Amino acid sequence: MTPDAVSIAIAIAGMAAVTFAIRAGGFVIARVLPPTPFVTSFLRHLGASVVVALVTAALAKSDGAGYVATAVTIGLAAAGRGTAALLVGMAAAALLRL
Amino acid sequence: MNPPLNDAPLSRAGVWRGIRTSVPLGVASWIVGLGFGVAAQSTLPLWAALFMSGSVFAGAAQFAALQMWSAPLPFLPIWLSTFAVNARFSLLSASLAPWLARYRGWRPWVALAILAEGQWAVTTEAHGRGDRDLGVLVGASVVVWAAWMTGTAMGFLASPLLGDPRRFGLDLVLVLFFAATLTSSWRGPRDLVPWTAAALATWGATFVVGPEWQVIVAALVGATVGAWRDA
Repeated sequence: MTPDAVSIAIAIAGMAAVTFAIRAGGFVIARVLPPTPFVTSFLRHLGASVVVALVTAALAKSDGAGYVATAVTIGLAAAGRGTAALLVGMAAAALLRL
Repeated sequence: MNPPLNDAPLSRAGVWRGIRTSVPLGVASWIVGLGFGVAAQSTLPLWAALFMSGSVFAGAAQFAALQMWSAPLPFLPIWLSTFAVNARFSLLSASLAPWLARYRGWRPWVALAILAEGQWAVTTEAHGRGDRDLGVLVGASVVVWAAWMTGTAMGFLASPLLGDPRRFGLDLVLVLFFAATLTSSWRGPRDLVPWTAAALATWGATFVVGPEWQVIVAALVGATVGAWRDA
């Protein structure tokens, strides 16, 4: 049995509302924080830390091909080949999984 | 060119710069969108897949919702999972707050409504070059959103032809994109301390909290360590 259209619309609208509240909420809260050097520095490090955590969490669940692909992508990105990095990394994983 | 006294620039040229610098990001977003479209095809009608991609616009949360989809729909668990998976967005918007707060009226809210890691990365890279035009974020977001929607639709429709997305490395698109972003945001050995802290905390958090909270806990640890080291 599949859910009816009204339930589907409600579920998705709720997901969208929750997500907007999160996106706006970080801005609202950070705006009222006092701009001390610690808070400023904290906010500056926050974004990169999110990305480090995303990569680490994804790699922890990945296979050998995922590790190789990530290493290839990082190597190419470090060499200034940002655009190709992603596609070559994917191709490496696809080859290893043949 | 922005007049030197304008500290809250928003220009058409800025939007254009955002669009141009986001082409690789758009490709990544399109590919992940394909993956979502393929996954959604067995669970949702096409209109619902597009409604979800267009309004929620957050890959990980959308994949998580698909896992929970059943009749009758478990509303609260779906919304709680969306909250947990997307809570990291609040950290991105918080890090942009000192800059976004200069803009008046509806502008920051529209920019926030379609914020995700990729656009955030493009924007902070532009800030590093001294380009503080809100148009860069808007342009990047438009590229990512359009690519995401196109990918969702195409993946949904082509799903019967594609087979297992892992065969093409499609499951790795997001992590590879983030790895490339991280590499280009490297500012030198000083980044090593907060980044190592965040990575270790991601691993440590698996023993303490569920996987949906892992990233949030780890990011807070990384930022605290970085701020504490700078102090």
